[in-house]
Amino acid sequence: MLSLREVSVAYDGKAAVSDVSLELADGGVLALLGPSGSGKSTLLRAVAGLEPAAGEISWDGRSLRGVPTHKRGFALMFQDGQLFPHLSAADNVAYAMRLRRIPAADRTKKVADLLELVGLGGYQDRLPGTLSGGERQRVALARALAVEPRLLLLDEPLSALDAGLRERLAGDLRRILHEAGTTALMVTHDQEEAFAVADRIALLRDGRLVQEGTLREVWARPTDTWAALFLGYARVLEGPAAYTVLKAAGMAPAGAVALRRSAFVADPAGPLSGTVVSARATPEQHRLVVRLDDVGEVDAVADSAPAPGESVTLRVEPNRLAIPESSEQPPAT
Amino acid sequence: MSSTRRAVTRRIATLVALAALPVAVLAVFFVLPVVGMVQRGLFFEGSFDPSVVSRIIGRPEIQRALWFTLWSSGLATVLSVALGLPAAYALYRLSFPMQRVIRAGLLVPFVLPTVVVGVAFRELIGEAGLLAGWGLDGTPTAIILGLVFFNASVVIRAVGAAWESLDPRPGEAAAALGASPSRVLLTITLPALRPAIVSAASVVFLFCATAFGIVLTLGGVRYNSIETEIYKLTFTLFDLPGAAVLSVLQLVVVVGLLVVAGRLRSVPDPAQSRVVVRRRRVSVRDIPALLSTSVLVLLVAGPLLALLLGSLRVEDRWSLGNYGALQTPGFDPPLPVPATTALLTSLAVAVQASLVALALGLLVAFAVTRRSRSVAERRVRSVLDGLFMVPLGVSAVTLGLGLYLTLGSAPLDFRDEPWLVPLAQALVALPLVVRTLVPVLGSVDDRLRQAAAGLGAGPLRAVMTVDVPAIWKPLLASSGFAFAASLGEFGATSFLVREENPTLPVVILRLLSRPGSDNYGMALAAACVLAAATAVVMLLVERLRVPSIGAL
Repeated sequence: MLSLREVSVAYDGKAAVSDVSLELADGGVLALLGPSGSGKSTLLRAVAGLEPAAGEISWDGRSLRGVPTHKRGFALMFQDGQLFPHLSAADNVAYAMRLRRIPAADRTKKVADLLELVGLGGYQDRLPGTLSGGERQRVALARALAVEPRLLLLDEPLSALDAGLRERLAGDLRRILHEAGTTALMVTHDQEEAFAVADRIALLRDGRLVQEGTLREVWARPTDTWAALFLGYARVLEGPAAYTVLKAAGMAPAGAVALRRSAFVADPAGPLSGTVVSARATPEQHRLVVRLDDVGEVDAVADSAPAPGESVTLRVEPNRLAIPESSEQPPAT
Repeated sequence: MSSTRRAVTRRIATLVALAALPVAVLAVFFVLPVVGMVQRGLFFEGSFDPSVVSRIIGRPEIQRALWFTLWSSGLATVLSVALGLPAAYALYRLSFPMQRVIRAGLLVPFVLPTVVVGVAFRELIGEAGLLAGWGLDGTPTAIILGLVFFNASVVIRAVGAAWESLDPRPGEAAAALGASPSRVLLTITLPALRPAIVSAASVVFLFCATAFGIVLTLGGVRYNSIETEIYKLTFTLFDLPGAAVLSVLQLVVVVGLLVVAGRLRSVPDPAQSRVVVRRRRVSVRDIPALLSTSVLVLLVAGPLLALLLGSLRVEDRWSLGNYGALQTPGFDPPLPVPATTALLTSLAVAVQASLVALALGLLVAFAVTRRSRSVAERRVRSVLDGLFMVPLGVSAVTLGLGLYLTLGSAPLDFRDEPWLVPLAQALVALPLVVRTLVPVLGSVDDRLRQAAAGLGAGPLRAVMTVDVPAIWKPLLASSGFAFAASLGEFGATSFLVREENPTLPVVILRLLSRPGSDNYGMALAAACVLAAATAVVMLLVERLRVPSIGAL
């Protein structure tokens, strides 16, 4: 089990990570999610032993202070894989096994198994330069898994890939990590990637831990407006607008409410009425922007497409909104 | 259809127009002399007689020179790389006080004229030197130390530039996979640096094998390289066929070496990622690299200090007398001109030479880097590119000798023309200029030029908008290189310079070859002046921070 207690990292006197405390159980996959400059990669490098950090980083209760990177038993995978360009795919994967003097025959077998696992069976002799971005990431993953690391550190593993490939590889990554039972810490700025791969999320902002929990916990209860927007909520309404919406949903009042794009659905029997500002067709539904009386502009979905300027009534889907933790108590009026 | 053909014709016309002048100059003042010499070396009285060639090669003193050149250059190259690599690491990857000063200081030898380096070493280890007790004077050890002194900076510069921006993440990934620091160095870092190391080592070997001034001043009469042997055969023994055969031999060896180095330099994946790396503070495990750097600092600082101190002593007292004497024709026998006049001649010649090298280099660089539309066109451009590298492979002495021999008779009776010296120096400096400019121009994305054209810029306007901003710094840097190379140029100049109008390096060597402490003191002072002049030029260039020699 990895545990961080009040870990801080500073560059030239400027704090990049401040007082972060976290735990990661064996077999778990934790995503460090945050915008660029939030200190998430720095934190990962500190765990790897590549940055000197204040505070306590320990594994199974034993401090890692003074343990150099190559003795920590962790593996590291970067955004662009960082395959050794002068070695073939097989030699890249076998690199760590060679360090451990594993006999050549076993090595060849293991390399073949690992390449198979990441869906690249038969790619042994290819040089990194001849592989596509996705293939390179797969080889890098196989290389990292080859050491059977106590902890796999992933630094934006999918960010360099294009959208479709990223989605596919995210699913594969989750499957592979779970099949191998690997404990993993992943850094990402993309909430979809975090949700697709991890089972816990730690949200970082300006070097500080904002929120940590399972996917469901984090999604259901973002800490504040910023967290809600960063996690992928489309809008956050505050004050009277929030009251109106929560009342229409039949929920207890709160100071703010975070809305997903599909929180409002066009419904002739809906309690809220407004005017269509714009409408856009997507393969599944029509997406509307509606100006609601007493609320302002919100996003909504509809089965048919009303023209801009038409009146429309909306209902609220209670399971598609969340109340940020910071605004649970209604402010005194 | 016809418009396409017209476009093709125009492209080829542009290529020819750009390349015509440099090719003509190269043909008359480089190819012709070298070919002329080959002829003299291999054809006797109009017929080719291999027995004469083999008899010349079989002469014991030539075999000795050949063998000495090979082993001393090889050993000096190995030592330069061994000392240069740790220093490149310490100076470009770590962060410690005084680093900038040390880095600039270690680069000074590279630009020092070889004659100055030779004098400085003699002052340190010679009969009256501080380390005279070590008995190194006139030994191969002294020559090899001199070569290392001169060339370690080439390794530091070339490898340091590559190491500075080397992406640390593959190494970090390897460390996370369980590789110890030394393992990371051996399996990841050094392979990634291999192109830079091979390239630096081959350039260093080239410089060592064609080192003229160092061997001449430190080797005395006992040790000769091919280069000094050519010089001696020409001027002491008047054995022109012997010198010509030796020159051809050297040409073959050097070109062969360049080809082999080109092969070794290629890597499986040349597209290394370049990043800005934050320098690390010094830690305990950097101590070996820092120690090795200190040894190098001592090796570089020792001779230079000895030179400076020696120049300030007259008859065992501190004095500026040696510097004062530079304004006079000197002592018995007097020089044709005072050393200060020779310095002015050197500066004037260097200005002319660097202007010529720059003009020719720019034309070549543009001609070579324009995008090719057909295989034939690309082939023409790559042949051009290679052609202008050849002067690098031909030693300056060979070039000087060739010019001396072939341009002595009508219709090319240029031997006594005042412009011949600057032109020869320009040809020596040309590869440096071309190698600095071509990578920069080549890396300008052609789509930028297309974008400029798409916005309505004509060809000239597009060059002004896109190429000129990219190239002005390298251009300044390469003119600095050409200037420094020309200031210190000695090999070709010594054949061509007119007796009554010598350059400063020639004056220094003349002073050295005369008896008497007066003449020697003057030589030391003149060497200091020359060193200061080149060092100033190079430090200005260094401020531009253009990777230059690394591109060789």
